[in-house]
Amino acid sequence: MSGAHRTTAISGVVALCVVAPIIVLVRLGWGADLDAASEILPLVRNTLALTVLTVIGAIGLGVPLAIVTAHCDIPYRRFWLAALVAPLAVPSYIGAFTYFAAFGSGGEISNWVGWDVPKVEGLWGTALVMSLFTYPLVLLTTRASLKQLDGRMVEAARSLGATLPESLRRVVMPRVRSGIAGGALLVALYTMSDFATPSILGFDTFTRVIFVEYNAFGLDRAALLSLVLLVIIAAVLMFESRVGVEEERAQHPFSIELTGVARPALMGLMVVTLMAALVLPALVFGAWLLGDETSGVSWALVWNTLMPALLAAFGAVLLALPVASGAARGGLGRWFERLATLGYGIPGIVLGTALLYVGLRVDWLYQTLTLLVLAHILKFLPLSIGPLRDAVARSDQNLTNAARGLGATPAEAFRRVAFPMLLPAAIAGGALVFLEVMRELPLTLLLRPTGLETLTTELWQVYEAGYFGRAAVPSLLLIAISAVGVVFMLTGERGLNDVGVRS
Amino acid sequence: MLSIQDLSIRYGDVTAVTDFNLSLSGDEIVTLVGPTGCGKSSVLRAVAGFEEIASGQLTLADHVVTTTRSLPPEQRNIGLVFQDFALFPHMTVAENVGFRVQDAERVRHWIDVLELSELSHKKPATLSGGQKQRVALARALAHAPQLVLLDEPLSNLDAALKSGLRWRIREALKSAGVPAIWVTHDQSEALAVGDRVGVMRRGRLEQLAEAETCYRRPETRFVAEFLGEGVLMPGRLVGEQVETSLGTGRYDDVQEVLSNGDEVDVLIRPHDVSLLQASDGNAKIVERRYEGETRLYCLQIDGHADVVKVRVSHEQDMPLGTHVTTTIDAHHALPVFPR
Repeated sequence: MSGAHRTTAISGVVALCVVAPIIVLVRLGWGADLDAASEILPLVRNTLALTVLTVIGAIGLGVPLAIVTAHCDIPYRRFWLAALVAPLAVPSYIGAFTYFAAFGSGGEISNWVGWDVPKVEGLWGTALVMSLFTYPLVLLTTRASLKQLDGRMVEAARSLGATLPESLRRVVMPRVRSGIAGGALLVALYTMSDFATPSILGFDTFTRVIFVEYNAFGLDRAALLSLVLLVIIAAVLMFESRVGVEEERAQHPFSIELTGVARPALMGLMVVTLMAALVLPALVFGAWLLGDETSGVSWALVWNTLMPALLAAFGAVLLALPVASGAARGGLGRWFERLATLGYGIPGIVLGTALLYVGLRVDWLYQTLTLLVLAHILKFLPLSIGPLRDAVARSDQNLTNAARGLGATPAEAFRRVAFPMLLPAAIAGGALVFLEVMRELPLTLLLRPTGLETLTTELWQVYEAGYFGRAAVPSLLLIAISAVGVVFMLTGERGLNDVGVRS
Repeated sequence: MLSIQDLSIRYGDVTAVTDFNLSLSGDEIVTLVGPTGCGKSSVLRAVAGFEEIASGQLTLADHVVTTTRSLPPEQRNIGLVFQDFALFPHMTVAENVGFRVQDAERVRHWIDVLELSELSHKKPATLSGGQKQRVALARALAHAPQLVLLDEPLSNLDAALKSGLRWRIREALKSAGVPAIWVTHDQSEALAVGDRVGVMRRGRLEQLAEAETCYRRPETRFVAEFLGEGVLMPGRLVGEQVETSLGTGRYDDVQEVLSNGDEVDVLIRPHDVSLLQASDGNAKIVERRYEGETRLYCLQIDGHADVVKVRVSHEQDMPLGTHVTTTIDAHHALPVFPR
């Protein structure tokens, strides 16, 4: 077998591994005892309602904020932009957790102000919290397409007699629509996949009920629900192919001078958004840190968080190499790569259900670190494939050929020429996987070996036990990890393209 | 229609335009020409309403714009034609031209006049540069502006297209019967299409007059050198004549400040001089270019550092290094400036 064929074959095996959980789910969920009308339909309705409301909320916040940060003459624009993107670095379970703890009678806010405030819960509460932590996705994609807009377009429209609002509506919006749609799609996928927020805020979506079924030993029912959720996600993903961003170079910057009520209104929106998405969680953490329940984290916990993440990152890069070079060759390799990236779209709770069943059937995998690491590799493989595929596509086959011409064996040519050129991309991809695994919740929750607690599972147990004060230190550590990850994604080799679905 | 009085434009501490005056009406086309950064585009953007004015006033039909009284661009009824066309990429040609036009007939009229009917359902991205600029002009004119502003409309097109499109645009503007300001950095374009030409330098209007007047009787040394080819040679006024090392000719004291015996600079254009081969001549050919109908010779004049360009008939063929005698052979008085 030649080198090229071997690469494609390995790539095929990897792709098969990613698809396997879906097959497992079909086997497991077939014939599960679930009533479509009374049990599945309400979940479909709830999940879709939550998704629609969250998308509306995220667009309502993200689009005006994108316009302000892209084109308006506000002071400290870069600061505002950084601050408004920052909520992306708050993992969903932490955001939901702080809202859960802050509101309601006996919540932190009622402790501060002295009277009862209503709970944030149910459909509206969950949609509110999800919007607050996902709007940066819309902000970023919208801003990216706004930045491509040439200022002369607006001037042309105005010289033809259109007012500024009319120009924005008729000339700017059609151009930006695809950017908004791209962000909205990410928000929709995120909302449907996220397990922690609806669970904590008490709203029955697919992800929440799958976890409930798992806890009630109804693994077959969980599998069937997982399959229905996957079908809905696949349907939404169909839209993605229609969302294309038109490339255009903006030669003249476009700026809007804010006049009248527009300035206080938009500045107010920025301040309120930041208060809700950053300041409130920070205040809650502050209260916890100062409270008497607070406790540090043990070294064991830190090691248990780092070690699986390191292993997964290493494994993901190792497997990404053949997939990426297969994809660069095109043909079958490109199809395998597409399949291998599917894992990212499978919600963690769904993948966890499938692999848990595999563990139950295969003795030597059950409750092992191996299974946990494999699960994370399947889920986050696309993060390491992305940068590597670009690097492979950029690297010139001629250079390897030149090394061969100078007498190097294929192995030596790879070691001395190709590999050093791929190294930065491999490190970038590995680092992303490392950071993502550390803050991942549902897979770890379902698959961790007994006794292995990580920062995220510790946080989950604190939530379930009600000792909120203990959440402060792990939460802050996770936000820090998360922030590094977000900065990495936004400034990394592929920039915005890597902002994907997290769950 | 438009009257600009004592207009100044500032960007922070930098003054882009100072004391600019211009008025136009009827179907007159004024070209504004000058080197990059001379302020010509700033004038256009101020008239269009995209630039605030630091002082002075603009009168547009019955609206007056001052530093304290502004008028949003959309209420000025001005047609703008941009250098990079600024067509709306998500609309077809017909949709662009009809952006805010109620009268479908008027849209069709301008699409026909500019020969765009076959392209009317295409998107801008599929058009060539020349086609795009015709769409941009049709769009501006279909909105029935009271004034048209063109900001370097031809500078993004290739040379072959330029001269043809130049006349198409001029004809369309004339048939629309609206006045226009046409900004360009190409002096031959400015001279060709403008009923009047304004030459700008460092934010000031150096001369505003008919094209021929600007060319024949430049009021400043800058205008003399900027428009057309030419060189300023030292000379001395003697009676009705000016004496130079190239020869002697009639002079024109454009600024009316000189008197007999003054040392001056004389504007000599390549057509103003004739050559005669002579071994004891006052000049030597140091460079020659064949231009088809004509030949251009670059001469080194005895006792001068500068090279003088002379254009003669193609029949007068002389090799490099030939010594020649020059005479001033102009049918007009040569503009002179005090030294």
